[in-house]
Amino acid sequence: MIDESLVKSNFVGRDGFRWWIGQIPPANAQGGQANGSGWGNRIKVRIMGYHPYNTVELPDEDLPWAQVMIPTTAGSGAANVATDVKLKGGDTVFGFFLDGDNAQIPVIMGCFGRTSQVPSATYKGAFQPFTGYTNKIKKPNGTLKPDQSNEQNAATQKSPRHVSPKQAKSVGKDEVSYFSAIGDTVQVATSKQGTTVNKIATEIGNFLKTIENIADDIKAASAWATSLVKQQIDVIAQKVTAIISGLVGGIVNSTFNLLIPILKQGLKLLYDLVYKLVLAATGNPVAAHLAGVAAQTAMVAPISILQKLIPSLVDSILNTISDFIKDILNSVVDNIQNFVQCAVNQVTGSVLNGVIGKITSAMEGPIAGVANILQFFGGFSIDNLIRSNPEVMAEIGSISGGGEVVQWVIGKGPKEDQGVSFGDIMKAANTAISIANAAGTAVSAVQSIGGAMDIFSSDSSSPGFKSALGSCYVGPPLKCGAPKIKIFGGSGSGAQAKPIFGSFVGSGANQTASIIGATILNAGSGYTFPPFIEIVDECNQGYGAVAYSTITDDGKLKSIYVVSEGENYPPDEPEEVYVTDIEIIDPGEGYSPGDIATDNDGNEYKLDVDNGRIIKVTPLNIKKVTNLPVLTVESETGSGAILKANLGDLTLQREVKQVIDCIT
Amino acid sequence: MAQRPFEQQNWQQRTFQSFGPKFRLDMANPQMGLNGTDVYNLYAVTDSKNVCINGLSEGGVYKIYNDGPIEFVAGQKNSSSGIDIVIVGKNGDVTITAEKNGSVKIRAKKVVIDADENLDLIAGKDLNIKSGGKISLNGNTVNCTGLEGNLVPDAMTFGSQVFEGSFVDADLLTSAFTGGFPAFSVDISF
Repeated sequence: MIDESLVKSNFVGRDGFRWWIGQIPPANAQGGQANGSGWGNRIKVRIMGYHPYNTVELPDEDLPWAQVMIPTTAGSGAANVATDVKLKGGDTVFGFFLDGDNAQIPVIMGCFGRTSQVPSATYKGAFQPFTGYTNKIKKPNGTLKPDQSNEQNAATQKSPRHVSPKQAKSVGKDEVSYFSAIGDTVQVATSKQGTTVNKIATEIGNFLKTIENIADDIKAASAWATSLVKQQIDVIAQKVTAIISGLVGGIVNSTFNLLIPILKQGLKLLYDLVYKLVLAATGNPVAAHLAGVAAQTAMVAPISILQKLIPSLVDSILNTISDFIKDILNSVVDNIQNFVQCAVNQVTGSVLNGVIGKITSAMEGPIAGVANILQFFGGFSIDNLIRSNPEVMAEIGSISGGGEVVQWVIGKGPKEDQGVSFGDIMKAANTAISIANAAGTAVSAVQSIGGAMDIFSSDSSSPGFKSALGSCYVGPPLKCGAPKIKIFGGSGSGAQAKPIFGSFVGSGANQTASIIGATILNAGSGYTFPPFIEIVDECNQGYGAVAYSTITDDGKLKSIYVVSEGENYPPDEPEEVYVTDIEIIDPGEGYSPGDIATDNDGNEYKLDVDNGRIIKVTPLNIKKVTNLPVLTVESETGSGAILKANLGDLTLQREVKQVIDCIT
Repeated sequence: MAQRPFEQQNWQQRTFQSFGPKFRLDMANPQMGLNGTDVYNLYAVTDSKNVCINGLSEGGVYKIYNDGPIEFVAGQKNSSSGIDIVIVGKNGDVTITAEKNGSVKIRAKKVVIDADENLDLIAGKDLNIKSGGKISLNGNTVNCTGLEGNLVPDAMTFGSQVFEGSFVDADLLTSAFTGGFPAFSVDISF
């Protein structure tokens, strides 16, 4: 020891510097360091070339403690500045000995990242790769996937996506959705009249989406899935019952308002009839009049009973309609695989038939009490009265347009409130109930009340489905049409556009594409602020395309520019498109004359700069565009400009038809 | 079904810090989402699989998702006359929606709803207004319509409208259709 100290300086580096590579043993060898009672940043390490390759000769617990060096950016702990050491069992670490050749005081300087090739087995023995998960650090149980790699590639520590579970599944088996509510539609509060159908459609659409997410479990008849479906149906039935309460109240009010002129006229006819009969029998006009008055007075009690029915009728209908809605949902849950508009109409039509049926039956007794008045209107029934006066159900129809956003897609943004054809719903409701009535006992209980709707037939999800009602096919889409650009809000109307596709992937029926621009077909009018742009295909296959609009001073749509091209859209035929002009979203500042812009397709653009701001951008060379152009301004002085390309067909402009010399 | 071509996905810009199986910060991940690619995402998950995410996507939507409840508590040390929480929509609507069968509840010593223009109260079923003190309706025109009830003008009740122009005694009609109808029956056959 004395000899040794005589020849050594005991200063790091002066007595030799020994590097080493080692492996961190499992957490259970780390003693208090792994369970919160340790001190310092110390980790046991098995060092190659110094420690044996087996745990018998040198158990993990007997390995030396290594000090861990932390980066200067991590903080030592002074003044509360600290970052914890994140080394785990099985990590391959690199370091040196503080005591040189004595090799008793190892220091860990760094760690080699794991690759996906490193086996993630449980600990078998010294220097064999093993998992960093322990019984205290369990594998992810949420939407993250277990992953023990740290590489520079797209596969390492892959995160979930901000898409719906169905869309994630469609992209690949390894894809998962961040959050199960992504893609759900929310109907927000509005004073707009007539949103009942949209509210019902939103609830049932979201319900079917939930069901879709657990379709495999349902197919496997899992008890968990069955119980979840039942629970969801109960919740949705309750919600739809609440949604239709306004509709029921409206129908009841309107029905009574419709009854007023009928009963009033009936009272007059009753008086006339009694007067005529008594006059004929007695020849006494006074007696005839008194008899007529008595006949009218006799109707006060039954009319009063009708009036007293008004406050309780809505409650009595709503108290019983929930079970019927459950029946509807149970009947369609296995059939509807694609919630198309006709399915919306039919579900709503069924509910409507149920409501009409319940109003009719609830009013049956009181209406019978005024039979003397109604005798003058042959074949009178409440059912006919409601069905022949569609304005009774005005609340059901939806009014689209205007500047108000009433629907929002979680994770995406505003959704166009599609106007619902009240006529289509009523037609479906009336026809279906006629078919059901004609079929008598041949239809199910739910059909006898809700009507013989296509959606109740298991055949409706089979391709080629035909029916007398309207052949409402609700199976998986047979062909996804190209996405549509919906332009709404902005207080204007009439604008139309179609998407321009780029970044094609695959071929034939499996070809998909991104949206790189839009062709404006109609600039519309009356816009006071830029309208919302929604890009959606009927299968909800594509996702991620986000576009904004600009308008002209006179309220027309000027441009639609894409800020995110999205992917996975079913495309139309590719078009040959070019950059036609540039939208200056932000002119930036500090730019100099002579600055130019370029894009990722190799196009160059001339910039006109005024007081450091870009005021005009002119394409210099014109090349075909196949991807979303991303413009970059090359400037040593300026920053902050945001330029977006408008795409279009330049074929005509590119051809020189005639040169006119205007000078000579 | 396909993603964009790989060369068009900007993986060069992505950085992440994964803090274990329960928490992650992922920035500029070029995976496409519903509102474009992610600018950043903070992800956390509980042992019970409840996830919490907040992040910004390239389309501009900032998201806060949580499987469980979210608390916003502020002002514990503020003066009682100040404002503890401010929620502002600078241009568009501010909407609150309780889905499924939830309610939107507001409780305070005093509740003020201040509308520059219209205030619409819409109830699909009952609209209940209850006051321990006075109820004051003040407007240049105040109307009430309905077919039944003690606020409905006598002439507007269902029965009054039906019997308008009939020969039935007015007192009887008033009694029947405004303040309750005495139990009697008139039997007439013809």
